[in-house]
Amino acid sequence: MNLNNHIEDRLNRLGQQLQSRPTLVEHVQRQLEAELPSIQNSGQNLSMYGNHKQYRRLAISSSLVATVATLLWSILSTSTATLAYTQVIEAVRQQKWLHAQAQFPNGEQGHMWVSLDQNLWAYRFGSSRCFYDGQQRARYELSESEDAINILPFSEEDKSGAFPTQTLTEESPSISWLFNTEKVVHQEQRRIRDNGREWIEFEMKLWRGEHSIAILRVDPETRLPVRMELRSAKDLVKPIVYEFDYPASGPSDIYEMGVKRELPIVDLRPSDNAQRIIDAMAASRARIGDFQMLVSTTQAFLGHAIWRRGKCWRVDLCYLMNSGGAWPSTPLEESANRSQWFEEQLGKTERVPLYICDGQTVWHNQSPLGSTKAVWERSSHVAPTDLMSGEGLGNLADAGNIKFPSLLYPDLSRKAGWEFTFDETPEDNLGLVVIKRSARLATATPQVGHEWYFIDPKKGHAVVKAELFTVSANQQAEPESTDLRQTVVMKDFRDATNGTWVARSIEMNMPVISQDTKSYSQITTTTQFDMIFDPEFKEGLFEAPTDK
Amino acid sequence: MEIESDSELVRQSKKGGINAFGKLCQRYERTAIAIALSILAEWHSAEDAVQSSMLIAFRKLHTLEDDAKFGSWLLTTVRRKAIEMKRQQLPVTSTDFAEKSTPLLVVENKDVSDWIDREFIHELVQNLSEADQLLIGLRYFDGHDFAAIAQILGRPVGSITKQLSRAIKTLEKKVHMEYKHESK
Repeated sequence: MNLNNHIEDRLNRLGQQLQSRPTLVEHVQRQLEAELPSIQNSGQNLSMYGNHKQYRRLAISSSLVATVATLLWSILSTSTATLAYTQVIEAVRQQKWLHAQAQFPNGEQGHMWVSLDQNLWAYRFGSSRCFYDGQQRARYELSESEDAINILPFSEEDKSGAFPTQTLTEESPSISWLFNTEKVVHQEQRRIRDNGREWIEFEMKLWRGEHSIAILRVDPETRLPVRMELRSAKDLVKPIVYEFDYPASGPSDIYEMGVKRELPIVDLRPSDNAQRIIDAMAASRARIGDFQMLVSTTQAFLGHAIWRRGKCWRVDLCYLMNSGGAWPSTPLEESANRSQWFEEQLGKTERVPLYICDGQTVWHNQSPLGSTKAVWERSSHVAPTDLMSGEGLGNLADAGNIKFPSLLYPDLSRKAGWEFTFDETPEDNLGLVVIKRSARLATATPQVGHEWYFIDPKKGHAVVKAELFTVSANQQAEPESTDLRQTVVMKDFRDATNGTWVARSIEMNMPVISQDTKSYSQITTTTQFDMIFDPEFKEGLFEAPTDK
Repeated sequence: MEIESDSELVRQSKKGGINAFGKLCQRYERTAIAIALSILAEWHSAEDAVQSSMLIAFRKLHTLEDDAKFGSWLLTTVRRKAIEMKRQQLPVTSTDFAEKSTPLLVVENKDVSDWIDREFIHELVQNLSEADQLLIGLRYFDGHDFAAIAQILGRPVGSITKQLSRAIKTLEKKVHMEYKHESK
């Protein structure tokens, strides 16, 4: 067999397949032709137009608020110059309300309010209205169609520090990230003169984004922030400007933000019992401690080695072509010298680092081949929290199946647009509880995607089985009724030393479609997780690569 | 036939030349779809990602500092857009979940051609540098010959053939491993 020809055949075949599709370019050109006159006539330059979407995203999301509050902390927290951050935070804390008016480059305005006293915050932008009640831990949102008010529980993100009243009231806040994804890479403080008086300015640089520079102006007399600008590092786009003031009162509910009182309220919060389960799953995920782990999948010749210590983690690719058969070659026994076993197994592979997270930044090797030098880049797609998050259903870019926390303890918080059912006493599942979620898919024919999670309270509220399937909108939701079905079964559970339960293997049955016959078949793979908790970590394991 | 370099077409596009921009996009369209497919695993979503990325690229063309690097810049935009779409896919369908959870290199059923092709795209994307992906894509997916690729990228033909040969060898190593695996 001439492998080289084989490769070229496959490439050519793939090329033919790609070229058989109709071109998109004509459509793109038509769209640009339609847009271009309006861009030019609007007096805006291309860069402004191009960023319109980004402003909207910033404005309509809670990020508008989180930006202000978190930036306050981020800018001030490490300052050692003339004005200490504690003085500014203290001055802000003494105010009844903090109000910010955001001015976007396209002329649109947004408003946000924070009351530290009452643990409330809210924002208004265009037709969007959102009101957060920290006491109730509930979020009131005007629905997208503006015909109802949705009440939702706080998401995990809300709870994890993006909530501004929490950020500003914590004694030792530990946030150096905006929206949990944007890293602060540089900060400085200076005194300036403007409009005949002196101000203190704090400048912060974010690691990415077009508005990557934040400049906060503080009145040295009152010690209160008065203005903040989010600027482009290269002056490519106009800044977003926030003006702060400190009114005696603010909105006490969503109606005081211009929402009609006659609108129906749709309470999307799960029952107390369901919320307890969701919270317990999050707590179990959070309890997973430090570990090292080998991940191997049947029929794959790539494995992964993972180390995690607090916020630091590392993922290595393990090429198994020279491993001499099954890997790991011997099972991990409870009584064995586990560190020695781990090192022995690593020694049977050709190992290449793929990700290193030093606690602040995730570095990604862009050339993860054993024979080539690593090419390290700061990852713009993977955040330090991604490995242990409940999002992603097992997936981490470039390293499938390694995210066991999101497989065992997914974040099942209620979200707008999803139906949610909690069954405490399902038939045939003694001892388990079931959370079912579903949503209409964006498909040409009406279809609904369903996710059923079977949760075992006796195993730390871990998911022990999941059914994920798609059926027609008018079809009964039964996994057996469709070929578009995936079943995930967690096996061989054990109680980890810290009280969290983990599965040593996860079996997945997945649908595969044949292009020729258009019929589905199922394939089964099993992923094995050999975990060692609280290991001794080698020095330098999580250090940022120096050859970047 | 004289082929305009990417740099030349980018210069025209930056002045609002939609036709020039169309030519640029045509050069990389299939490669872009292959990359989006590797992430989204579904034709329509991949095409949506590419179409959006092309529109974004035109609007942000002024931010491209090195006009000769349009290709890799566009493909990076596609990659980011596809990842963003992947994250926003609500809800996760069965097939989507399968794709997320599937080990990239599993070869279960060689008769299922769609599976093989998708997997092969995965291999390309997983095992080649972005520069190599670009070359493989231009040659095999977008169907340009060596001379045309050299003119597009403004590089000597010799360096193109050498780099392509290295990329094929890298793939050869992977396929060899797969072949050995299947033979067991």
